[in-house]
Amino acid sequence: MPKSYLGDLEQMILLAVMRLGDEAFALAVLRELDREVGRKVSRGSLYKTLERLREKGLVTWRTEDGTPERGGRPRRMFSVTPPGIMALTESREALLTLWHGLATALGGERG
Amino acid sequence: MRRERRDREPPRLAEWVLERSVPRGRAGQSVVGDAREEFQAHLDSTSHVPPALWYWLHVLPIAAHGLVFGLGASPGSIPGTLAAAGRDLRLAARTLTRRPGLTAAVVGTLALGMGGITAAFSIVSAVLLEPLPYDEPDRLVGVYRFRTDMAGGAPPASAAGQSYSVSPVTFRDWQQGGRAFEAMGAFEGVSYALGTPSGPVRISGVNATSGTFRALGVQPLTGRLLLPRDDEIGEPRVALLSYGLWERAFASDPEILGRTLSLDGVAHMVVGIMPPGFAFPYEGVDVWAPLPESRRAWPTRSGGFLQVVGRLAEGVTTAEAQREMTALQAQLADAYEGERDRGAKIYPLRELQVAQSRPGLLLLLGATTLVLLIACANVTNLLLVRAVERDHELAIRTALGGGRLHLAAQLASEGIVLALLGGGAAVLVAATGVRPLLSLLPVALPNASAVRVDGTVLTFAVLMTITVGVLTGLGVALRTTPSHAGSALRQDSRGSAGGGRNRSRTLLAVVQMTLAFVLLSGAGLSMKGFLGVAALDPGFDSADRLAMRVLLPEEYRDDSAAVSGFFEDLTERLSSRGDVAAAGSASQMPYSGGTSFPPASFETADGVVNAAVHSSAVTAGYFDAAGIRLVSGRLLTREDRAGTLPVAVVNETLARTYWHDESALGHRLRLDLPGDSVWRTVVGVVADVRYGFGWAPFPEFYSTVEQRSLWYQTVLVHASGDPASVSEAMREALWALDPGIPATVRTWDELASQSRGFALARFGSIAMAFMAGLAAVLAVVGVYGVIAFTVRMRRHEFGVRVALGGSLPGILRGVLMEGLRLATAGIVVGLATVLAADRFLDPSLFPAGTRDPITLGAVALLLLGTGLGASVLPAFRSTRVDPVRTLRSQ
Repeated sequence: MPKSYLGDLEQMILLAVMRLGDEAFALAVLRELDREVGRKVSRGSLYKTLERLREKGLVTWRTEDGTPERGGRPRRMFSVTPPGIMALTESREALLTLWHGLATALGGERG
Repeated sequence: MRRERRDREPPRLAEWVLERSVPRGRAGQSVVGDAREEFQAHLDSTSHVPPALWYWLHVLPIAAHGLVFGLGASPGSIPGTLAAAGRDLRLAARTLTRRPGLTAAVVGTLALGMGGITAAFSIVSAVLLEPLPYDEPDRLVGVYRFRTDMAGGAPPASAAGQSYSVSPVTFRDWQQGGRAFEAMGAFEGVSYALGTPSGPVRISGVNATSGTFRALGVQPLTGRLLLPRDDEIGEPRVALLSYGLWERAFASDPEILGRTLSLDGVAHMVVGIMPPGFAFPYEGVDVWAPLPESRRAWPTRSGGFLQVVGRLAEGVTTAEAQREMTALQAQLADAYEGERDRGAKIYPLRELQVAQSRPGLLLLLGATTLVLLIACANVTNLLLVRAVERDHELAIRTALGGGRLHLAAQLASEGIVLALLGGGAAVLVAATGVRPLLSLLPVALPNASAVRVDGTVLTFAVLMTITVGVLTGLGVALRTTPSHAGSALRQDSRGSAGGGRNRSRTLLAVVQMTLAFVLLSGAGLSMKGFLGVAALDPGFDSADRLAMRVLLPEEYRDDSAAVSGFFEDLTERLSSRGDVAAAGSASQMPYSGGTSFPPASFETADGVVNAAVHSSAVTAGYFDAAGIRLVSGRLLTREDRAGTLPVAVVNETLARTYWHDESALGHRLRLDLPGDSVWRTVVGVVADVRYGFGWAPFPEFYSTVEQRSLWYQTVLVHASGDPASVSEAMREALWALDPGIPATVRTWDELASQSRGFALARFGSIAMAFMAGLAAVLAVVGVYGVIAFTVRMRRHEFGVRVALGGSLPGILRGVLMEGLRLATAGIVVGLATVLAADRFLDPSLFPAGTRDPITLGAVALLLLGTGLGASVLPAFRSTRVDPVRTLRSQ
């Protein structure tokens, strides 16, 4: 079976979840992506992508009990699974391989 | 407050939609929780987007994602069952993006149609549907006194607010005897001169008893309300400020409580500030104060000036309270002469406040509904045209075994996607358009400050969008599904217009024409009614007239010589100027000072007759200044003073009413007021004057201000020179006599054009004309669409006819006739509708009814021209058919 790589939104969301550590719930991921790389993601796409990542086994979640400002509804805290970390690494390596030797042509500094 | 708490919660319907479109279980719940958390953050931010609108805009995309793509759809959940529908919607969206022009036309049409009705609904919702902004508003009532000896009994709620006032003596009896009430208060609207460092300013005030505030159940923003001790004579004068006045005149000074301000030259201590949005009894009141002593000490039961508001006791119904008040009033009538033939009538407060605006608002809602229907017909038509173009595709799919149901569902999806886009745009149109629309409305609607696009309005918009989507979608689906795939394939190759579908398009065009006819006639009739009323002879001449309302401060009021001297002096000073043709003053004049109907008696051939008639106290120069024509006898002069024979001048209507064909001169009449019941001899008859826009003249008499001293007068000047310098002179002349009185000079025309009746009538006709114009444009597009399409589908036929030697003018005529046929059919049906509607229409909106051949004829001609015009372009195209190319393309 051929290897399948992660889409860029999937990569970004996985990375954001990792950066947030214990604080990785959906709204925090949105804010992290906006703040760090200026990427505005619609809530619908975010939930959909997180769901797809969960189906692939790349993220997992547990729930925290709700607060009054959430109307008592639970909050989902996400974390990246070992297969998720592996997928990220593979995607990164694949990209680096392809980038090799192109940096000068594209105006970058290093190969 | 209640509203506050509700606003901290997201709109319930939106949350329900979200909950139903996410998966069940904790994962889905967490999505709803996220939305709520963001909503709370939005509430605390400084954003100007209304929270409810923000939440809808936030939630709909998530819900759409959930429904269309499934946020982890589990079997059995709504996302699972809707997955198929989601595929259809996605396909529909893709199909529509391939035709951006058509999509934009449809969405634009729907946005206008749905935006109009959404804006109208948001006004109706705030004014007619929202409960009054008080605690348990259903228990609030207004109590009015009316004459039982007049025909018709108690007046309807829409008329109750204008007259039928109560005197303080009667009010106290009611208050003590009314067991059905938890609290009862009385108030009168007044105008105050507020002393400011830069001179006195006129502000709107209300004098009220403390019970008024207890009945309403309101709380002040800071300080206290009026208390029972403020109702006592001899207490220091206090005042409550409106939030607006506090901001405007005192820069929101937090130290204002306990300070004094000057109202009509009398010091009042500020004891409280009312919260923003508190507008009782109407919008724009700046200050509330206890009744002045002279008003509280009013000795009689007649000549009342108070309105009464009450809160029913717990569990008491309006009918029970009415029974109690009727019994109480019957006791009073037995005990006191002044209460004879007087009844008490209870109205729900809400009814009193909205009764006048209801017919106009419902008309607005009705007109926007018609526009929406026309827009829907247009969209269905456009989609039908498109569906025919796709006949071939659909026929092949059917032939290949595509289920009819599935094809229909897919076509319906397109209608729904278009409706969703249109509905979204409509909410934006309404949200941005409703404020400008309201500012066009010259009259303050009750609760107008609460008009906004809120949860109720959005719910309405969502339901309407779904309805429109299903209707247009279903309409298209039912008409388009090819029942005979084979025949569709054959038809397509021949390129002629399909019979059944063409019929439904024609029908739609006729419906549009009908609706356009109805709207245009409505606009024409209301415009004509407006112009007809505007053309009535008002009985006075308002050209070059400047008016200044002068209310003398309390220290003058008890001294009748001082009052009359003041106004005679002032008007004489002004009339001696070279640039003034005449000057006078009157307690009541058209469009200024309201109306006054004190009880009076008349000596007639049948003995003494009692009636309430309009009366005004004037200075001698008033008739000249107002241009009121003398019919017989003489006008009032300065010689008709306090010591001489009391005289009166009556209008023609009064003379006719009481003395019929006899001359009125020499007959006598008198007022039945405390301290003023001398017989006055009629010395002159003047022409009738209309006091309001479109009003009928009522019986009226005038007396001089010397013989009937009234401290409130409007000074009226007929300027022969530069109005600006005359108006300056008016202010200077007033301030030379007393610099503490506020002076605002307006032209009479200005006052007239701002009067409620005129402004409402004008707004009504403008709004109707606008809607009718929109309807006409949409109808033209509809007719054009049908004819253009027919021409296109019949190209082949035209080509053959031309090739066989058929005449071009013949073809041209045929196409033009088709446009005329559509228009005529629409006009006939529309005419029948308009004539049938005649007896259901509110006569206050259409005083002349709808049977007006000139207006209807003009509208019919206009639409015939429109139908013809819409077919000219397609007809012209039909003549350019190249027979060779058409035939070769087979």
